Parts: sequence; structure tokens; C-alpha cells
Amino acid sequence: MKNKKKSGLRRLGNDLRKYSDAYMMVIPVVIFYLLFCYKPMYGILIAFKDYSPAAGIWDSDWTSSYGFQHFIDFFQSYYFTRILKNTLVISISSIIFGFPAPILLALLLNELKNEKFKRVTQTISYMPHFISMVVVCSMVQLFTSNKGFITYLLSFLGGPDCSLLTRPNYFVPIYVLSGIWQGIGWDAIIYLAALTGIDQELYEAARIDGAGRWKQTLHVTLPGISGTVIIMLLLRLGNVMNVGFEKIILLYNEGIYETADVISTFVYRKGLQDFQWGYSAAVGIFNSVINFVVVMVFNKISRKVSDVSLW
Amino acid sequence: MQNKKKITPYRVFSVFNVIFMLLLILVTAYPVYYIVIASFSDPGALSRHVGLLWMPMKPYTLSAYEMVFRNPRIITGLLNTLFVLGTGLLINLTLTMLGAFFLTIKGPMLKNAIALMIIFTMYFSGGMIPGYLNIRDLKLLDTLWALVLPGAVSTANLIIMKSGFQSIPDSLIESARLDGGSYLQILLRVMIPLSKATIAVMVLYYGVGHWNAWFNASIYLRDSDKFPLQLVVRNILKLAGSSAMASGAGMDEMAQMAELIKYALIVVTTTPILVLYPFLQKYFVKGVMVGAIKG
Amino acid sequence: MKKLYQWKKVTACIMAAAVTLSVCACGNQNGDKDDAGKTTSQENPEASKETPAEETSSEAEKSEESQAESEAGGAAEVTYPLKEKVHLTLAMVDEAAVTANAKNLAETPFGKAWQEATGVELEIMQLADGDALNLLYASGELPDMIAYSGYTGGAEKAIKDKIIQPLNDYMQYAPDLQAVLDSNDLYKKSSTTKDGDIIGFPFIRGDDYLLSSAGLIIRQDWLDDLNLELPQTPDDLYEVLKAFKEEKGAKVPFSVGNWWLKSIALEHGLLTSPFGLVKGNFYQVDGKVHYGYAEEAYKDVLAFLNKLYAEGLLDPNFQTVDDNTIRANIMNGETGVTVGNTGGYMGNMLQTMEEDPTFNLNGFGPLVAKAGDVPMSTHYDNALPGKYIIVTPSCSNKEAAVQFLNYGYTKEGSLLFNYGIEGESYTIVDGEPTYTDLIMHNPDGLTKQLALAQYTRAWQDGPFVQEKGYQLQYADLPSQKSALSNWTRSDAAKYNMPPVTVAEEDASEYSKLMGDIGTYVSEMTIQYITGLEPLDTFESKYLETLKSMNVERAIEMRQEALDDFNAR
Repeated sequence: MKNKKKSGLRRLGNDLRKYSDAYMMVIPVVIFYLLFCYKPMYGILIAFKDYSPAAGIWDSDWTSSYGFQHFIDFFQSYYFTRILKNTLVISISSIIFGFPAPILLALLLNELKNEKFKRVTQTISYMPHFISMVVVCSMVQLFTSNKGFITYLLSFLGGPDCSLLTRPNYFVPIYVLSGIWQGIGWDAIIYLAALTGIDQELYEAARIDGAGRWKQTLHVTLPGISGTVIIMLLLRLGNVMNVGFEKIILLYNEGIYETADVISTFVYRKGLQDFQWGYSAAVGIFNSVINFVVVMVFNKISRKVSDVSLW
Repeated sequence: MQNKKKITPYRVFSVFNVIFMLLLILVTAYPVYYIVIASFSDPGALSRHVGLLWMPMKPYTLSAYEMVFRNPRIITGLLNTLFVLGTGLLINLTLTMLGAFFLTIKGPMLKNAIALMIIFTMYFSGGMIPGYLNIRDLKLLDTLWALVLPGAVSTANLIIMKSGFQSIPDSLIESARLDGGSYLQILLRVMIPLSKATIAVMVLYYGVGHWNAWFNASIYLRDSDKFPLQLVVRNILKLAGSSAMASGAGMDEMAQMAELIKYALIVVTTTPILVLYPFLQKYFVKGVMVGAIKG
Repeated sequence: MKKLYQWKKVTACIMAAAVTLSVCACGNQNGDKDDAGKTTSQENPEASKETPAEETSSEAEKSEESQAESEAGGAAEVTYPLKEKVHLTLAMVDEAAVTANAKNLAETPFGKAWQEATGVELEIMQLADGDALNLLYASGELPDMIAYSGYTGGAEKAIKDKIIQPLNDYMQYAPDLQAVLDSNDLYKKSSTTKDGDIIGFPFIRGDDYLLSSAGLIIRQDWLDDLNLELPQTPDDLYEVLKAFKEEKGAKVPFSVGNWWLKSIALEHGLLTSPFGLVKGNFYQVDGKVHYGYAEEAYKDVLAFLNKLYAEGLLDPNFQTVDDNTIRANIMNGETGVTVGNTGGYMGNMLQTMEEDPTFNLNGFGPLVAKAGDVPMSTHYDNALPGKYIIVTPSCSNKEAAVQFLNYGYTKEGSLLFNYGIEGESYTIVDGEPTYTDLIMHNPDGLTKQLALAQYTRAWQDGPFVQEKGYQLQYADLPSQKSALSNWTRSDAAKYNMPPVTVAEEDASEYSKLMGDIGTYVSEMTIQYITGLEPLDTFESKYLETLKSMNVERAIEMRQEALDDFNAR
């Protein structure tokens, strides 16, 4: 027992010596994390306490139910299942449809032969990312109002002739599609960068082997960016519970709460009446735990299947 | 004279590809176009207009821009943002590359522990209150450093940088190691030159992040002369919005201008950051020749 | 706890003695006139020593205190500027209208005049928004004074959390505030906690004319064309809307945004009186609290709106339509009636349509059952909207801070806070303070609001009593004035809930209940108006669900809060 411990320490000592210059490099990074992330970490306690500014976080009283009252309040809310379901539906649809879109765009841009056209397309397509959410949402409202051109187009396909945002079943598609519209160019940048990392010699080799464009894409391009794709997917999955309130608040109305009200908007509305630090922290922790578990699971799968992982 | 080429599936695809791109340009350029023309339009005519806008509403006016630039805080805000952007980027890139490179090195025993420690912070944090008390205890309150240091590393960016480094063959690191190079030298001489595209992405992500940031400024600063641009912009929008809707307010030209000011502000504040892109774009266009460096 | 209380008594006693002595001392000083009423305990270090320890017994204290009160409250008035040079820090949330043209409030012409008049050197701690203020509370390191607009758990909690220093022991330094509070029972009750602590220096809207700013708006020129009167009853409104549709070609005669419909029209009872309902939100009838949305009568309100909706009189897009579209519709002749305010709606449209002499708007009062009746409610804000400048327990010089903040309630201070600097921002015309062209037509092109923000506090809030003259000159178009006088006629004062917060220990339960209830009510309201949910289910589904959400408990908590308030 003692021996083992000793040898472990010795191994660590050797390791530190062997990789001393590597460890030296990471020290500033570790200091940053300790100082700005871990030092304030005790704030998590606030979710289990009746926080009082005068007492401070440490000395505030624990909530009833062994500190879990805020969580219980959240779970017992009349709307808990609905907002949980809506959050997941919106988030997962965004992943299913929104995640592949920029990859596709990057691949298509890659096939453009005219460099100038490629640059222009790329530059313009990333601009909507910089338009503030308020303006983006007011445009979405304009396009989907009863006089909007999307409503007009849809009416030929049997859609309603009223504002689409008054119909619960249109909310998720509008949310997801407008998200793609706003983010596709910006999100494609990372994949464009990954495409440049592919060794050009591989294409030449494939061409010599007689592979056409399609085969080259399949056997060189896709494997070349798969690492980035998987990392981005893992990061995205780790946000599955985070559906921001800003955009939804700008788009929804009481008539479509049924599909549009999510956890963050619910907490936001509640906070407008009476801000409760503990309650919102508890909801945050609930989301984080799920996110963390999801990312752990998928990271493990990914490491097994593809040898790519977050860490 | 060019020969007539056969119609191959790939050529058909190329045509459709171009058509698709043109459509994409149309739908993504329209909002930008709308904002620009709206910012020059006559406020009265604009407020009576319903539906899509194709031409600026006459008579054209620059009054929204005048109103924006009359606010002295726009300039101080821009200077503050540039300071944060400059120092921030320097610190961001240094720390992110150091951390990311450490995580690509095979061997160190503590690597996994450090990786887990870093990832954990993506999901759990102490929240606003202890974060604020921390900044206060570090005597950073009401300084621009409070906007730089707490966000010195973004964990997601660090992971993306790491995956960029990982796409470089291990053999390069090992051979440089055998040549007696320290890890720092390898980072500077091998990794960075080979990862220019990913680093350009980092510059873009961090840079745009700093450019758009306002929240930390809103809780850590107490002096309006130190406010960064986006916080100033938020305040102007709040003002325009409140005078547009203020209960009990009288007739107010500001109210009418609210929409115009909103658009003018977007033009003013996004043009500088949009200019950054073409400079970075060259790194995304050409592929690297790993072999060339290897040889 | 007991110790603390005793200590409080001791201080009160010492203070009282100090005042008595210093007031006497003044006679001998025979110095500058300005020094006469200047009273701080620091000035009289002897005073506290001379107070015999025995006097801490309660009886002695009482007599001593009442004596002090009569001396300080009655005879003594604070004389400005204060003799002693004091530096005080005030934390306030950034007001863009102020900082658009000055570094902060202290450096505006108003701020400089306030400092000069009081002799206090004011430093502003500028906070970007409410979050920053919440964090300041949480940090426990407070400045001398804070612009306060509420606290989770209410003012009682804020006092307990050592954020607010109750003014009870310092009122002798604020004789003018005392006089204002004494003049009106509502003022006094609103600014006092149930434990009898005086919260701070309140912003007071000094006239009913200042309490309403939103209501029903109508195209007056259409009414004139059609020879119709302003509608008063639901039937009137129905007829007017029909006439607008048929004879004026209005496609959506009554257009109103969701927020305006819910938060103004229903919540403030603009459409509810004829159906026997005061308003949607909480109100009181003879001290008993009701929640309008949970009343049977709400069904009839919904039925009326449903009828308007079904017949195409109410905008079918009311859930999503935004302010800009509504204004455009009114100006383009597609809409004749909406709910809006004097500024953003009326002022905005009238200015845009300036060149069209036929275009005219007016406001009409909340609907009533019978023409000539007085509506039970209207858009109505509390005279004390809950905005205070508070002194913190850690304030470096509480006496000076209190005297400084008292200034806004003096005669000179009131003129400064409402109208600014005489000869610059206002002159006296026919005995009335009248804004000059510096405010009304600013030579540098500042809007009225921006100019007022440099010279006054009337445009926003502050420690003073807001005067009607401000509103009369600010919203000065004839249509706006007519709308305001139509909107203000109501019995709202009788039914309105005073600014009460539920007890601290109930706060979390209350907010949990109302989170669910609020969501349910607004959701079902829309479904009943659009007919998605038939009105037959009002009792069986809607009221039952509200009951199961424990709406009665929420009402009960508000009832307790109201009882406490009335008992003050």
C-alpha cells in the first residue's frame, strides 16, 4: 500500500520532470481557471439556499427539503413538463436541421471554382450573424405576418392566411429555419478552416487513382473534416438544454406558449415579477447537469467509435 | 474557342450549386440591405410603410447618423472596445494556444485531470454574485481589465483550437522533439504556422465576442467614460425605445427616430468588424501543403 | 436583537438632545444667516456628553423625543447651503437621456445647481443596469445613497438586509419631507413599512393628472365625419367600429397589440367596467382583495372581445402585431381605434401627420355600462410608484445626506426638480413656471426629453413631488390634453391596490404561484378571444384550473399585505 503510493508519487515526479516544459506552458492557463472559474465556484450553493445579500452565500439559510426546495418548486410547476418538452423539441430540431446546414454550405462553397464568387458568397452569407436579434426577429415577423411573403407562398400549399406566429405548429419550424438563415454563413467558417487543413497531396493521389469529384469528397474531404465536425457536434450536444430566451421572447406570444414557451423564457417571466437568485440558479444547475451527462455519454461513444473526443 | 464539353452530372451539380449560392446571397443580403436603406429613409414615411422595403423612403436623411455621432460616448466607447479587443485578443490567443497545445501532447500524467478541470467549467460556474465579488476582491472593479481577464479563455474555443492542432500529424511533433526542440519552440515553429486557418477562426470568434460584449461591462463598470461601444449602443437604444414608448411622454422627435437610430447604430457598429473579415478570409481559401513544411 | 433595539433608542435620544441643544445654540451664534438652521451632531460634540445616561429610560426618551420633534419639525427648517462641506456618493442606474449629454447626473446643469444649493459635493456611482444594482446589494459594500426601486422581499427585507437605513431617527433633518408626508395619508402609508420604518425619499406624483398616461385612442376626424360621439358603452364602441369599417373602409377598425391589450386594456380595466369587473389584475373593494382574472364577470369581457374578433372588428393579428404596424395602420386609414399612450402613440402619429390637417386623434375614457357613468378603473399608476432615494446604513454622514435629499421637497427645491434653473430653463409667466425655449425648442437640437434631462428630474423620478405643470407643457397638443382629461376620469383611486408587497416569508411561494397563474391567464385569454376555446368552458375549465393552481392562496397573501398596509 505504502509502496504503491510511493511509486505513484515517484512516477508523478518523473512525469513532472520529463514534461516540465509542457507543464510550464499550461500553468498560466490553470491559474486562469483556478482564479476566475473555481474560486467563485462556491456560488453553486446559492441554488440550495434562501439567499440573503446581508448574510452572504455561505451564511444564508439552507432551503427546506434538505436544501432542495428550489428544485422541488421548479419540478412542481404546473408547466414543468411542457417547458421541458418544448426546450428539448426546439433544441433537438435545431441540432438535426441546423447542425448539418453549415457543413453542407462549406462543402458546396468548396466546389465553387470562381474564387471571387466564392469569397463574395461567403462574406455576404455570414453578415446576418451581426444583425441584432431584435432586428432579425422583427424581420421574421414581417415575413410571416398575414401580409408577409412567406405566408403568401405557403398559402398556395394550403397554409393559413393569418400570421404564422399565431399558430402553435409553425413556431418550431420558424425558429429553426430563421436560426439557420442567421447562422449558416458564420457557422460554416470553422468548416472552411478545417477544409484548408486537408493535405492537398491527398487530392492529387486520389485523382491519380481515378477518383471523380464525388469520390474525392467522400474519401478525402469528409474524412478530412470529420474531426472538426465531431468536436462541434459534441459541443453542440453539450448545450442541448440551453435554449436562449432572447429570440423566443421576441417571437412568441401567449397564443403559442403551447409550443414556444421554454425553460429560459418561463424563468425570465418569473424573474420579472420577483427576482429569485436561488430559484434561477437551481434551474441553471438542473440544465447543466443534464448537459454535462449528455456530453459525457456522447464523448465516450465518440471516443470508442471515432477516436475523436473533447478530452 | 472553347470546346463544347459533355454534360456530366458534376456539371449539372455545379450549375445548381451556383444557383443555390445566388439564392443564399439574396436571402442573406436582404436584411443587410434593408437596414442600410432604412437608416437613410425619412422617419415619417418609414413609420407609415408596411411590408418589404426596396428603396429608401424619400426624402433621404442622415439625421439618425447625426444623432448617433452627437453622442460623445460613441467615440469613447469605440476606444474602450478597441483597447479590450487588442489586449483581449493577445491574452486570448496566447492562453488558448498554450492550453490547447498542452492537451495535444501525448504523455503527461496530469493531462486528463487538467482536461476534465477545463471541461467542467463549460457546464458549471459559480454564477454572477461570487463572480462579481471575485472581481471586486481582485481590485478589478471599474477597470477595463474586468472585461478582459474573466473571459481570457473560452473553453469551447480552446477545444476547437485543440482539434485544429490534433489534425497535424504527431510525427511532426515527435521529430521536432528528437531534434531537441522544447515544446514552446514546437508550438511556435511547427504548430502555429500549420494552423493559421484555425487561428484565424480564433481571432474571429474572440474578436467578434469582444466586439459584441456588453454584459460584463454592465455589471463591472461604474463610470460611463469606460463603457465599451456595445453598452453605449444598448443605452442609446434604451433611450430611443423609452422615448418612443415612455408613458406620459409628449411629442418627441426622438420617438420617431427610434427605428432609424436602431438601424443607423447597426450600420455604425458592425461596419468595422465586417471589415476585419476579408483580411482573415485569405487564410480560409488556400489549403496548406503539409508536405511542403515537412520537406 | 434586544440589544440592537436599545442601542437604537440610545442613539435616538442622543440625537434628540443634540438637536435641542443645537437649536438653542443657534441663537447665540449670531453668524451668517445661512448657518441658522444647520444642525448636525458633529457640530455639537458636547451635546452627546451632556445627555445624562439615565434618560435612556423609555419615559424620558419619549418626552425628550417629542420635544425634539416639535422643535425640529416645527420651528427648525434646514437652511441651505449646509455649512459643512460634505462629500456624498449616490449609486444610480444609468439614464441614457442624462448621459447622452453629460458624464453623469452630478455634472448636468441640474446636478450642479442641486450641489450648489445644498453645498454638498455629489459623486455619482454609475451602474449600467438593474443587474449591476442587484450585485451592488449583494456585495454588501454600499455607497452613501442609492436610487432604489424595489428589492426582492420588499423594503422590510431591505432594511433587515442592511441596505436601507430607515429615516425614523433622522426625520428632524428632513422637515420638508415630513410636511409632505403629513399632508397626505396615502403618501405616509406608502412610504412606510408595516413595522413603521420610513423607507426613504420617495418620488411622488403630485396630481391625478400625472397618474394616467395610456388609454383608448380614436380617429377623431372620422368621428367628426360620421357625426358620431366618443364611444362610452360597449354598444357605442361596437357601432363606431362597424361604422369605421363600413363607411371609412377600415380593414381592421380596432387594432391593438397583445401587450397593450393585456397589460393596459385588461389589467387597468379599460374595457371591463360595463361588465361589472373593475379590472383584470388585483384590486380591492372596501379592503377586500380581488383578482379580476379569476372573477366570474371576466367571462363577459371575453365574450365582448370574442364578438369583436369574430366579426372582424378586432385585428385578427392582435397577438403578433407590433406598435409600428399599428401606428402605420392608423395613419394609413386601416385602423380607427387602438390602445396607446400620449407620447409614443398620439404624439408620434400627430407629428408624422402634421401636414395632413384632417388627421386628428383623441382619447376616450374606459367603457362604462351606461353613458355618463364613471368607470371603475383606468390606466392608473400609484402616486408613489415605489422609487426612492434611500440612505444606507453605511452612509458616512447620514444627517447631511438626509438634509441633502430633503431639498427636493422645499419650495426652491421643487422648482429646481420640476422646472430647472430660473432664467435658464424656465421663467415665471403669469405666476406659473414656464419652460423656456431652451427646453421647448432647444437651440442645439436636443429633444424636449433630452433637454429636460439636463435641467430637471420631472421627466423621470427623484426625491421630490412632481407637478402637473410639467405634463401640461410636455404633452401640450390639444388632442393629448383632451385624451389625458378623458382618461383620468374614473374611480380608480377607490379600487386601486396601494403599493404593497407580500410578506417576506411568503415572497417565494407567491412568486411561484403567480408564475404559473400569470402564464395560464394570458394563454387562456387569447384562446377565448380567438374562439379557439369555447366560452362554455370558462367555469368548468378556466376557473377550475385557476382554483387548482391555488389562486386563492395568492389572493390571500395579497390580502394580508393590504391589511398590513391599511393598519399602518
